[in-house]
Amino acid sequence: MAHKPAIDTKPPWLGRREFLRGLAAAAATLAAGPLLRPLMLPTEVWAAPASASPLVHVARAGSYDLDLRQPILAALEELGVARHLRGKNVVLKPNLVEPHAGDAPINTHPEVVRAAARAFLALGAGSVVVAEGAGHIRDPHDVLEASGLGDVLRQERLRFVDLNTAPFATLANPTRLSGLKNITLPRLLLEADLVVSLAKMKTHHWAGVTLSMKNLFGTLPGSVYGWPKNALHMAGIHACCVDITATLAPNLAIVDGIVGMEGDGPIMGQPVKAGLLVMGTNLPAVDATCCRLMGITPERVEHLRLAAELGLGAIAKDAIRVRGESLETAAVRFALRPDIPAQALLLK
Amino acid sequence: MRDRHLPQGGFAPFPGQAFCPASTAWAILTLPQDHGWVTQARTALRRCILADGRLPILPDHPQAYWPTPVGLMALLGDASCATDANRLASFLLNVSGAHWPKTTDAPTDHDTNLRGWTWTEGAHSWAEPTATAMLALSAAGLRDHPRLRQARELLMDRQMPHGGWNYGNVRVFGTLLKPDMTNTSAALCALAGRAAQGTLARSLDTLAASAAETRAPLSLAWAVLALGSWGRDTSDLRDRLPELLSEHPVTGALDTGTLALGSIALASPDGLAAHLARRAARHDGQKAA
Repeated sequence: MAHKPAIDTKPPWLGRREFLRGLAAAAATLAAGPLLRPLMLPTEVWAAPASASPLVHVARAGSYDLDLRQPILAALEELGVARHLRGKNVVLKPNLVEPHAGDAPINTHPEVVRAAARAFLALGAGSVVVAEGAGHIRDPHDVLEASGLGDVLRQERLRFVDLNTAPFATLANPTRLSGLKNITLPRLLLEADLVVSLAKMKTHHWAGVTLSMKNLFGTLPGSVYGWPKNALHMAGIHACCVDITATLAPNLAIVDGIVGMEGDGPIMGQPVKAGLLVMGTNLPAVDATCCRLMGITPERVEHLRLAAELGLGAIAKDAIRVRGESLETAAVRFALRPDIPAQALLLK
Repeated sequence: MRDRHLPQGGFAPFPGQAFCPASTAWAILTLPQDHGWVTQARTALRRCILADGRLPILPDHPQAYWPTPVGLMALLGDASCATDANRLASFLLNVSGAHWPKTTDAPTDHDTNLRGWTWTEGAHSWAEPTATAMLALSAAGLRDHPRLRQARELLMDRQMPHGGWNYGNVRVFGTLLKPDMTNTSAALCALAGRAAQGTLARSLDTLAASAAETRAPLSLAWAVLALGSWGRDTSDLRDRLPELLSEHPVTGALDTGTLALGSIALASPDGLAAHLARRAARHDGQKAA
């Protein structure tokens, strides 16, 4: 029997963002306008309700040449997101690590960005902006043009915002797993109705995997955290994944696993044609599902385990309702390197 | 720059935004020393220098002190700013990125014990902040300081065997990484006159090839300054630069730092160090007259 989304007036994935936007608006009034002035917002406690049994939608997509809008539309319907989009301001945050050709497995593929933007606009979104703060490269145009995303954004008439240099605000870190008391985030993201982590399915040489939670490192401005965002690595990469997820509270994850990366990711690994898009409103649940599809036990990924312990999401197999393709039929094992400590931990 | 200039002095990163120290410093470097906006902008900039001499992105983000080198560049050539310029230089000489003894089992293979400069407090030394600190301190007359000799060693150690630099890691877990244009350019600007051309030939060739293809304005501006500082002909690149510096169809107006670097590249195709030296010399000449 097909799943029927429950009818709710205030879905859990919207609650925290409404709260954040209220804080940002209040602080903007107090700050009398200067856009670049960081704002110390009141300490508040993580209070977003996480579904006890989140839905994750797994779609097959064998190639970037297919119409990728359809599986995304189907997932948004299944997840109960579609009916909440009218007039909403949506920010898509792809993973753009370094400038390399668009068919490489490093960056979220431009066709996935195009399809997601078209899907949100088709469902009545008021605006769609694509935004990223590339981790290694200070020139956003270098990343845009070399990755092929620039051409897609021109064709689709979509705006791109460099999060590394965008006006920002500073919020208290609600979870404080890392040593960071505050997290500084671009105001664009705090003021958006929906923030979508448009991640890539990859193994990672420091974090084990990089999926929708690790992708959020790119939301933090390089002007505050540097290029690379070494301050976050030194504060604890897994702890920061959780802290940023808790602070920013993205509404949705879409993971591009059409061609992912195995081995020495996030840049120098080998492509894996997994042929999948994985989507959901609970990021730890989406990432845990991606791990299972990649042949990795999510409980061994420290930031997923920590996120679950804090109640940010469910990662246990029996707690996640997987729709679309089944884990058993869609799984494609991603190779891990035993000589890389963060990946060796996943092999045990 | 007109639409980023602020009536109270200084510059914003984009039209309609607030004062930004880094944008202000870069903008000063594009203006004649005696331009009416410069004195006001320098005054605004000097107010942002913290007690220990660092120039952070904003006063309440003191850990992000990477604008300090460009702040120093912007104050040079004005005797009334000498005290503050010395404070900035002293801060740079007394601070470095995190460093630690190199070990054989490290995931990276560069010499982690070499001191350079970094973007934010406590982070490792990286290529671009090391290069900009070298350029600023050299322009301030400290070219032969031991810190700059070690910084030169750091940059040479981080150069890719196939040419170029990235943010500052050559290999991670045995895999050779890839260079990018801004870091390669900044390093080449800083090494001009400090290394034999032969030791950098691959980097210069790699950069020239990438610059010929790029549509990225900041990268192209940096590349013109870097290649020019090593005597390479950049006339074709400079011909393409004005178009790239105009409003971008996807990102809109470019930030002040990019526009400023582009202006400098067009005005001083012989490199950033030569640009800074000329500004100081012109000012000295004016004072003598």
